[in-house]
Amino acid sequence: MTLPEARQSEIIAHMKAHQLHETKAWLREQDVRTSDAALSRFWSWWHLRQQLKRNQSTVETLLQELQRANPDFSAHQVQEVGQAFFTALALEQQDPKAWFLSQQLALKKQQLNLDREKFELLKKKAEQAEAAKQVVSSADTAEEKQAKLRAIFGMS
Amino acid sequence: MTAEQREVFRIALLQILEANKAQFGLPAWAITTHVRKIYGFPKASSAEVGAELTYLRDKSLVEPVNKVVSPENSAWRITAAGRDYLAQAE
Repeated sequence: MTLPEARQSEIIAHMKAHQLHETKAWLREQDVRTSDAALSRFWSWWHLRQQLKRNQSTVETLLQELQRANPDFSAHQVQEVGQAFFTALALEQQDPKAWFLSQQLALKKQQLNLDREKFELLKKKAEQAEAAKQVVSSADTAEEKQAKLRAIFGMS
Repeated sequence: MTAEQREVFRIALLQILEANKAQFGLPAWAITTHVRKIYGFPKASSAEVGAELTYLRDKSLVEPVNKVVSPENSAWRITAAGRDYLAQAE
């Protein structure tokens, strides 16, 4: 995972076009010995990284709009809102329903309740992020937007 | 978890955080989900992940992102020392 970006992309491209054992053989020809598990892990890790890059890009765009609408927002406030957006985007990609179903099979009821509480908290944050998106793109004045965003994120 | 499994677990957490190049931290629940799905720790609990993140923080390999809103819902990122450690581990 510390391979150069170009090399990582090359391996992913090969994996997309071939079966796992073919990629292993291809790498072996280049004196790289690996396992199915390691390749599978690399595949997941690489896609996670791509998804996080896309999330970052989305959040940066949202923050630019936010700053345009609220030029008096401090860097710290922008960072806080950005973190909330970033967390909300991570939630959207986890398919929480499927995740909870799998948990029900594996976890004891007590543990499940703890996780559900956490899910509710994150769901609330996702709703906050969605509400903030609507405020940013609304026709409200900058002052109104600022007041609404502060209310949404509980900033005094 | 054996000592060896625990070391692999810690490296997995570092690799997940290393995948995130954003200035924002990854929430602990997302780290837990990824370590279950990607790294073969399907029974890893939030508490275990939290404990290991605290250990890695004490080693200065990860750091919590400073949050004023909902600080209890922590987010984490890898440090330069964490990246260096990973490079050596690989």
